[in-house]
Amino acid sequence: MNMRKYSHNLLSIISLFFVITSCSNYFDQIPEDRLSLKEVFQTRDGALGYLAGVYTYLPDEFNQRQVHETALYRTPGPWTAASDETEYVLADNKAKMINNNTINATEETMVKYRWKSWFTGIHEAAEFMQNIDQTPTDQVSASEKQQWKAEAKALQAIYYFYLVRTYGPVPILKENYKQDTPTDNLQLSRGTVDECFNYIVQLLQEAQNEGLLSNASSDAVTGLGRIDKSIAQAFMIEALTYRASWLFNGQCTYYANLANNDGTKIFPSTPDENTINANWKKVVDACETFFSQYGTRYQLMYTDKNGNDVSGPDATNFDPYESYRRAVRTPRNEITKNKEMIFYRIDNSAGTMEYDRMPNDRRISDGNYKGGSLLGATQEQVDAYFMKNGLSPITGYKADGVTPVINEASGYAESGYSQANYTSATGQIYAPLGTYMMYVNREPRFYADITFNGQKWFSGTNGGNVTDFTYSGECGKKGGVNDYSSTGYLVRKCMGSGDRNQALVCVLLRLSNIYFDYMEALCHVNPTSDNLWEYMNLIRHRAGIPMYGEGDNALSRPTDKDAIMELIRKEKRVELSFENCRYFDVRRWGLTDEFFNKPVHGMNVNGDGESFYQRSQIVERTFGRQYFFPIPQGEIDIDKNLMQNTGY
Amino acid sequence: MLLFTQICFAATGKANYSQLKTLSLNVNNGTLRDVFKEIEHNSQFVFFYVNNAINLDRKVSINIKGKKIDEVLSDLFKGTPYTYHISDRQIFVSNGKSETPAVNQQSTRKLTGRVTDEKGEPLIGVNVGVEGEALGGITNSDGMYQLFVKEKNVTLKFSYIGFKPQEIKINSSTNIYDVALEEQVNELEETVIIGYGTQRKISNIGAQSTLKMQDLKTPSASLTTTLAGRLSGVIAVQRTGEPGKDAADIWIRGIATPNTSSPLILVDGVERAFNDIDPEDIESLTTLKDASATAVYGVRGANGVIIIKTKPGKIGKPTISTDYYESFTRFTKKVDLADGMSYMRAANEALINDGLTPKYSDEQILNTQRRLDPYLYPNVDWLKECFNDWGYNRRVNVNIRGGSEKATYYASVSYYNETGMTATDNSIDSYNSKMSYSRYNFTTNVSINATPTTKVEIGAQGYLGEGNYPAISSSDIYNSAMSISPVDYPKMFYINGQAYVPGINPNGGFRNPYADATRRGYSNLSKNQIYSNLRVTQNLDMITPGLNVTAMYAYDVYNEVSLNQSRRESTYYFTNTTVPYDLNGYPILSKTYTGSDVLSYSQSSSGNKKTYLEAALNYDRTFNDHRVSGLFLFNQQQKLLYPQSTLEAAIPYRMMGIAGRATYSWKDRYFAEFNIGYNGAENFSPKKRYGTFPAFGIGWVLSNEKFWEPLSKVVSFLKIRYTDGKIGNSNVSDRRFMYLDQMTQNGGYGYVFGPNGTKYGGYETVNNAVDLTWEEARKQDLGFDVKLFNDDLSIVFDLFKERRKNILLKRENSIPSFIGYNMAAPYGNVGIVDNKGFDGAVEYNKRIDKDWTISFRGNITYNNNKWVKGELPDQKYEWMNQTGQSINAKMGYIAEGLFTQAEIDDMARWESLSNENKAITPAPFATQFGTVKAGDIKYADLNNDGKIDAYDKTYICRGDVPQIVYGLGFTVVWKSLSVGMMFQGVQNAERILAGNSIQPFNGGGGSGNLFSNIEDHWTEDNPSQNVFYPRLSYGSETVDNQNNFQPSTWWLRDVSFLRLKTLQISYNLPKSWVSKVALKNAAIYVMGNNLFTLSKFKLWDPELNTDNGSSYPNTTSYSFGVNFTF
Repeated sequence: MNMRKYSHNLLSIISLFFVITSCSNYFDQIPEDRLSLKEVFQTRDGALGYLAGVYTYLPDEFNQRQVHETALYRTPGPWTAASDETEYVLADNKAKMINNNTINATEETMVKYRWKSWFTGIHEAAEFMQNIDQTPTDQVSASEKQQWKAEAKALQAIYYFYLVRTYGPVPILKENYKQDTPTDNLQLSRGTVDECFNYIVQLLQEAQNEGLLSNASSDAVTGLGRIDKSIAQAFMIEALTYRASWLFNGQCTYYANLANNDGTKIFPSTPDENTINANWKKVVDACETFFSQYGTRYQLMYTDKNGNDVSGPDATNFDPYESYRRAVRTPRNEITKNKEMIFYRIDNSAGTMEYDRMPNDRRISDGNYKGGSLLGATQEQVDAYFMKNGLSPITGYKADGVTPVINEASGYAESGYSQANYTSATGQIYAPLGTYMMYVNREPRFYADITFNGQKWFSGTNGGNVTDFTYSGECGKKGGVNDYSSTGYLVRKCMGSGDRNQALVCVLLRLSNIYFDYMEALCHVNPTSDNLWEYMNLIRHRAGIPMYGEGDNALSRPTDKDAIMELIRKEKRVELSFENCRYFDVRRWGLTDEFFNKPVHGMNVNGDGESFYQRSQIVERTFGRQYFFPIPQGEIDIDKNLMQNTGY
Repeated sequence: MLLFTQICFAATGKANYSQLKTLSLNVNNGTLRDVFKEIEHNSQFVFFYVNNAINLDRKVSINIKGKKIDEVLSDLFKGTPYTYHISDRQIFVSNGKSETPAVNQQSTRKLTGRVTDEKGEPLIGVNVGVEGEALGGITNSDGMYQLFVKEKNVTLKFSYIGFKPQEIKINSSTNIYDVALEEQVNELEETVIIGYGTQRKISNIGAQSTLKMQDLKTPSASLTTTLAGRLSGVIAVQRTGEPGKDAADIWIRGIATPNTSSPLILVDGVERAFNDIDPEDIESLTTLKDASATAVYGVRGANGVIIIKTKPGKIGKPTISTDYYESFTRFTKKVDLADGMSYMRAANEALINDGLTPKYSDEQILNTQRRLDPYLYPNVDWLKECFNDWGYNRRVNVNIRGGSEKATYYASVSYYNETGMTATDNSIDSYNSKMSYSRYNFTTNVSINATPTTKVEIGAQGYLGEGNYPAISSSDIYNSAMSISPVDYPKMFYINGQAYVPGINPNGGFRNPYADATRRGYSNLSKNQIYSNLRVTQNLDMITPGLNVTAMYAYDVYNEVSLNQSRRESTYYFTNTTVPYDLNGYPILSKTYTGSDVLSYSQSSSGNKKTYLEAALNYDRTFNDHRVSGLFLFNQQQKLLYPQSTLEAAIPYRMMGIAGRATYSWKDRYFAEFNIGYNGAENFSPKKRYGTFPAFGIGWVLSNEKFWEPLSKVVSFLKIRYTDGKIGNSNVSDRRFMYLDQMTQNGGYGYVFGPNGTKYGGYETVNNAVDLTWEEARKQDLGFDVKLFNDDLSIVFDLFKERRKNILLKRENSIPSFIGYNMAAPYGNVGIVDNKGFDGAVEYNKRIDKDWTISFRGNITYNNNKWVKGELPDQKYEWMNQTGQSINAKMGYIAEGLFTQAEIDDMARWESLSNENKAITPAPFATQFGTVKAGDIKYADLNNDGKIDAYDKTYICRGDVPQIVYGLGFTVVWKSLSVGMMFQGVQNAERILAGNSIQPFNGGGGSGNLFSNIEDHWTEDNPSQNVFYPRLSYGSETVDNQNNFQPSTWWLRDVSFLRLKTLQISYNLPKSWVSKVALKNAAIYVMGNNLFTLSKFKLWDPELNTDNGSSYPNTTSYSFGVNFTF
């Protein structure tokens, strides 16, 4: 063998190989067909999909059990269980941190992620507005582009609104910053209360003027669920209401010293009567605009006992229980039937909410009909419902904080058991024979909202069971292990017969919200206005209880501003119960000491028989500084101009 | 005759130098002495001959090129009576008449004997001399010598290259003196493994250590489990003993980056997993630790390199070896849970402490104690029911090794089988859920000299592993056992022979641990792997001497298929505990959870495929006192993982690099080397893609200096080394193609518009593009190699220091959220970490006399890493800052002890003050979590703001990766019996205990089991501070129970340990016995592993990765084995 030749061959093969491989672009393999922003905006589907993405930071309030989730989209709050309406049995529910004042800036889920989510929404909206123009016009017409941009802008306003009501005033971003902007250029300060609310209102007005549909449902395919002019108007009303309220208008002194590094006070100083009135007047005006422009489109739900529409509360077959129930429980396929909803989220975690509110009934073996009994209504909320005569059953609590002060005129009794079925005018059994008297002779909304001991679950498959929350009862703590009502009640609102996997619409704003904003504003501006009582009575009439100053068994109209406000608060507490208002309302009104700085109560879930009906403290609650969430500590560590809320 | 000699030698010697080395020689009319000198100079051959026996002045002429020594010598001695033997590098020349010089044989005494090595193999050519006399001789091909001496009492001196010299005093009783010489490791000849090759040990400057494979016998499937404490610089911890899943976590010199910090593991030069390789098939295991040693691996070697070589063939007759053992295994430590009575008493106490009604009546406790009715009054030790006491494993390996000049081979097959300890239910025969793992391995290595200058090496190895497990993972079984109390329900109900699974939770929570372990089905895991590699080496001496070129191609595949059949049976409980039984005495049960009896089926599979190509030019040559070598190497690797859910992950992982090395040494005193790696990475944009990583090293062997001679009696060898270099890393665990945007479709980001529920969109910007560069480290190493007392004691000690900067960190905390890029935090080159420490090894070997040998070895590794700059911005308080903390450090509160009643009373008095008085009176202590009572943990209020919150957290725990790992071992050999022990320990490892059971009643509704030490808690009657548990409280829904379970120093535990890793006793059966059955060698041994553990932490095996003991423990094994060589 010719050795030398052989070796040379080998050598040349190897060197050839070196050359080949180093010349070829070994690292140029990249995921070629991957999705890119540019590609997304080339088609209608892509552009609309991106806009849909901007919507996903809207809260899915059906998911309040999972507030600890750290996804950016879906953004539920802890609101109902962080107010005196409810208590979650779950030890790790984030509402507990608010209730016992252990919430702080280093909390890594709820506190951190709400901030991140809504700001991400604001940024994504800006990205959308920047990119939509590159979509070919044969895919999205110029006018549609205008409309979609306006929606993105309205969403920015809505996200700012959610941020401000949760965290207090926040920095306002006047440009769409790049990701690699040096941190030194991002030392933004918080806007003042006025800057924030003015900006929110300004964005909403611009959106209205720049292309929002006047009625989104005019787009039969992709319309429902989108922002239109009426929704922008509703959010404007909400924002103005917050702005005018005690917490934001300077009456609250807790934040008097909260100032930016340059000395700018973030909250206004204590206002005079005129300023307060002027702020409320804006709410009145915005509401009246709403009523005049969209008054015929939106109306309260009026149905018969089977849920069929009726003309109004005076119709003979009008059923208040069913009407009220259907106002907030809307199956997805009945969206268009509900004219009371203004703003809602179609894509939501209804199953989570239904599991929370369905009893964990050991008699039922089909898991689809067995819930977790997780979200207990408090005794305080139960006590808030009126009697069938329209009067409050109790007026307060004695010094021990537990014993109720009973309003004798209401006919309320707190001992013994009923001797007959308590039924509605249409024959619906509200409370069967043998029900504890506490739950008898209450208003229809009580029976629609609260599952109490001895009440029947809905009819139909796996329905009809009498709920038993006593310790050893079929839905009691003993058998439930982790999953039981810790208060002896469950929230019933939004529930109905059938399984717990029904697709429901999550209502975020309905006409009642606007009515209450209007009443509250009128109460400040002109307490004796007939308009105030008109809207109050719309609510009461639909609820099936005596009205103030008109109708059967009419109750007298007080003239004192505080007394009127008291009635508005009581009514709202019931009408919009478990609809995520109370958390913010009590803060806005400055009544946290009265309602949130004390224990919540329920029945004695460790007791059987008679001893169950003992009013018992469920958990101590304290309120000090929790008007707002703390600003996440991590943000403050980066942005040295970002001032933490007082108290944290 | 000649051929036979050579084969004998080959079988006992090392690599066959004489077969490989070629010589070129041109001597014209020189003396034989000149020729010998010339050969000795140009090669490592050494000539041996008895003076005067050979005429060295004989004139010869020779002119050859590229011939092997054999040919040269036959040329040289053609026509002379001289004969020669070649033994590797040693050439023995004799005059052909007699192997002993001619002396006067009349008045002398003839001494004979046989010289062998320690294994009994004859040594040929040993110089045998007589003290004080010129006479002497050498041993023949059978190792025999003969001498004629005049004196009666003389001392014989035996000397032989590569062996320690020995002296024997002769006496008058016998004339036969057999001698066994002890091998001496020769610094000059010994080679060590370095990156892409070998190097003479003396010239090695890099920090590396090598494991002696004879120590590496262990009854476990995982090779990684054996490394801890055996190699200096290696930190290894074994986190579970579950069969087939018990690979250890390994780091070299600790952790210097929060990104991937595991070392590069090369098996026969290719990046491969080595866990499932049979230990018997491994020739050597080497770690490269510093920048100089790893630079040639470029970025791949950033965290150190472990090089494993499987056994090559060997020239010689086929040798067949067999090793077989059988072991019994048990858990090193089984978690000890509280019995039912203690559980109930503790629960009642906790409830009373919270002002609640006790749950268990005295009657119930008494009835449980009396074992009145195990259905109604259960008392189940769940762990005992779920796990057996004993398992076993066995292994057999058969290998054959041999070869000729043309080709050598090694081939082996082995079988390993281990049975785990999860219990099975005898009543279930439809499937098998017994935990077991079986593995079949094969390895073949063949080397062929295709031409005189071309070598072809082919290696193939693989295994088939079959694991069988319960459907529920062992950690889940543990978790269930930790979640349920011993008294909630019985293990099983039986009605008429029919089994019913007890359960109380309507939604299936509080699973029955026994049912989980035995009745939920099974899962079967099948793994198979093939490694193959082909290497061609061409000697290029014809171009210039000392040059060769080599290329390797490797192709590896791995597949695993997992088949799961699982079910969840319905659970039952008494319908009514007051009427528990029917008239037949059977329990009346209601279904509490509806499950299914039918096994559902699922299958998943995954695997990977890899190709690797390497080509290199090597140069190594000596010019007088100068020695130079060089390497230029190109490599590339492509790895495909499958299946992958995204295209991005499915794109093959590619790596390409060039490496170079140049070394120089002078007179084996001064050494210098330069290494360089050049790499590209897919994570960086084309203009920043390539990085260069150079390293240099210098060394000085002081003991080779003239001035050292006086000291060399004591310090026989001393070398100082220093290396310094740069390494780089481009990899992070969750991102590829960083320079590109990354968007995906994610339904979560979609939204429903319209009445039909149609969801639109769902685009998630997973990552925005970032234009980054290499994470870089500077590594420095100062090392000392010392040998003392005639090389009996050797010490290697290295100080190391690494600073890693531009660390690729996710910027989660340094970009304000309000700019809205929160989809995923982008990576940035932001962090700096320092890692410093030392490692060292000591070895002492001493043959005391013919019968006794002792050896001792020890090693230690210490490292300390800390953040110099992390991603976190400056925190609100300095004690929250990351700077200065170790990478794995954890935060928590500082516990100041338990509250006393007096303190609580003080607080009550303060609470009753008016608001004005409160404002001027300091509170007795800071607000804790919820309302605290006496016996609750009191936390330090670091910022003195009167309340305990996250701002009072500081770094309290350095993490569970130990800072110090050490090993100590010794072996004593007495005749044929040897006893060896190996201890291994770790120091500075900490955990914060948390979770079910270890924190009593911490779950919702008071769930959780208890440990048996539950009595050791604070009580009102015995308000001791020196207890394991604080005041008991029931269920975390009460605020009371939140305070005590915060991560704090109260729950901090030191999980350092020292364990007897192995104890081995073996006995070599006498030659006379084994030769009768045609065996060369036979030994029997007994071995124990993890025999005992010393640790301050007693509740579970401290090495496990669990904060509450819920992990399959490590195992202790007792083995009995035999090995034979044919």
